[in-house]
Amino acid sequence: MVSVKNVSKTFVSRKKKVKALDKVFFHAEPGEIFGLLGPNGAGKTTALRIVSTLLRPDEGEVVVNGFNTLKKPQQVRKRIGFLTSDMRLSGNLSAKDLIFFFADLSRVPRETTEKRMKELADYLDMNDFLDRSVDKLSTGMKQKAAIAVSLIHDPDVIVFDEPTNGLDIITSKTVTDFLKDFRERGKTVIISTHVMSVAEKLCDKVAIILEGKIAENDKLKDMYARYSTDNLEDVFFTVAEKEGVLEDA
Amino acid sequence: MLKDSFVIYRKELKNMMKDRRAIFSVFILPMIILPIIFLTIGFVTSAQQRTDAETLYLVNIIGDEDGRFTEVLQDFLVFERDETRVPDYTRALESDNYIIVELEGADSDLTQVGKRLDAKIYYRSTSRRSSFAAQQVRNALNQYSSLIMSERLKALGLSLDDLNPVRTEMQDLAPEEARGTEFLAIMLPYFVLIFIFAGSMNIGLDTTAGEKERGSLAPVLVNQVSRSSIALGKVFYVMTVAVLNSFFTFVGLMVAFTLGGSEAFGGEIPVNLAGFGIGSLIALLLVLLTLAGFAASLIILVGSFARNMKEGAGYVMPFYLLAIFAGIATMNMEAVHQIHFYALPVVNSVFVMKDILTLQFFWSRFVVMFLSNLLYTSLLVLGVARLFNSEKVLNTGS
Ligand SMILES: Nc1ncnc2c1ncn2[C@@H]1O[C@H](COP(=O)(O)OP(=O)(O)O)[C@@H](O)[C@H]1O
Ligand SMILES: [Mg+2]
Repeated sequence: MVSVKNVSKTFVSRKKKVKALDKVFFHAEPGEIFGLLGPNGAGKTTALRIVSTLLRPDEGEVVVNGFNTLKKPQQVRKRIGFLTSDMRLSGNLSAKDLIFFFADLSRVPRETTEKRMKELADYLDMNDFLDRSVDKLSTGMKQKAAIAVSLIHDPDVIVFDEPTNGLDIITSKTVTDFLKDFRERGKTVIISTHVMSVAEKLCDKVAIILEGKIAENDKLKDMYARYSTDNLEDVFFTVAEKEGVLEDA
Repeated sequence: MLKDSFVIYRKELKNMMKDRRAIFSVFILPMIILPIIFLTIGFVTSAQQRTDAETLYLVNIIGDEDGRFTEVLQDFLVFERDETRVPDYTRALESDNYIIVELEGADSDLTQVGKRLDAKIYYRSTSRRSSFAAQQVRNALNQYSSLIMSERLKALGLSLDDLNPVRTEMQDLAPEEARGTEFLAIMLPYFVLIFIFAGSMNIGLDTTAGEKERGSLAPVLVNQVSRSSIALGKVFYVMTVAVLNSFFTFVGLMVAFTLGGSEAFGGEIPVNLAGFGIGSLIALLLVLLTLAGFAASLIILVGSFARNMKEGAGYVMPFYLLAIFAGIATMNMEAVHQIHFYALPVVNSVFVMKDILTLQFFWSRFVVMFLSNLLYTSLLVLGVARLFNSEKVLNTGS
């Protein structure tokens, strides 16, 4: 369970101040895929980084499985698997090397790692390239390796920033299948996306984020009912118009 | 904490060890390139000197009526005489192997006191060969002069030795094993500096700005390991590579010098490796360690501010140039005595290296250098740890 309450975040650089998040709130339950939908620069990455303890909120709080991200960051990290499509595994190490490296970082005992690696390799169909250096892997293989790496500590919550960004259709399917499967196992999944169809097909619950503010936040079904439509695009543009972000664009 | 750093350290090092190109440039390259550079320079220089000496010159000797000078010159230069006896100055200006010697007064009896010979040599200083020939003519004229002098003395019942009441003999007190090390003391610190900085620059940027660019830093930070440990692990890694790099630079230079590469710089005595005892080698290694620690932590700090490799290279370049500049500026300097110089980063390591290589070791200088480098490195590492603990480290500036 992930609960984000009134989180604000301002970046101060030499030139300017950017309020990336303004009293953002959302909730994701186990057995559910939650999606943060918004255009580029809306604050999605910032929000997910705050949930993953990479950034500190200026105000508000985030609680992951009962642990506050500011007070118990280590406990939170133990329970979170963090992935981004920006992450490109690279270098001369093999997927296996990297899995053991991340297991060490999460303090997973060796035997447990061995066991989980076997399960993950079977599940993600990685056995053929487990020992090959990641530089020599295809994009799809790399994505699988990245997933395996971030699941080695068996997290309850998975946070995935733009899960299908830059992936071909086949690799995208691998990723979305994996996320659905993760939901079936009763885990909490949080993703961000700027792609309408990804949110539509994958998520149970969606929050629309515009210029750092949550403009809409509900179960997809209920949202459709309220806007009397059957697709997310209608909802999005109605909300965007109401918020006045379309004129700026 | 240290154990966690080791996890990072081991992973980075393992990754590097699997990279053939990196292995080549860190370990193999300095061992090959340095001997090649030095031996080539040495070979070219001595080959040039040989051709200068073996060239057949055309010398127009004017006024040597009895031919005695020409005879003396034969011991100094391979030449033919230009029999025209008319000075062709244009030719001397245009040709590399044509020079003119004008002797005035060679016709009189020079053994008579009061007689004098005036000699003029026409050559061109911008030609290496012409200069060489002119120098040899000059040497021959000196020899000719001594000849005449001893004839004059003989007439007086004396010999040349009678005119030299003082005999000089040089006694070198420098220990046998320290002789010939000046060249090492000049070249080694310079090359070590270049290799340490160049070596840590590539991998130091790759492990900081490069990780950010590849988006692989964030996942490492969402874990049980403290960010300070991560920072420290990276510093240790870059430091290790820098030390290995400079160690192989040292080996490369030693190979170059033992093979006779020091001739390239006018050194006559081959360097005696046996002269460096265990103590010197340990001291040298400690200098390399602290210098590498300084370079590694500096580059990691600067690289962590950069958002990508390109920006990182721009940030690091001024520091690299400064280090090289320090290397060049101190290349021909003897180690200074003022102790405060030994608190200056980079320069201090260069001077202590020179001390060690010329077998003059001063504990005070070494200790000041060691402690100040340790201090700077610690401050830089603290800076890196602070940066990693702040949110700035994730700034990829999208
Ligand atoms: N580290 C940072 N420093 C300054 N500004 C930032 C930083 N990270 C993000 N921003 C700014 O915050 C806003 C939200 O960015 P982000 O969360 O990356 O949006 P999204 O992921 O939705 O595209 C943007 O205006 C971005 O420029
Ligand atoms: Mg983003």
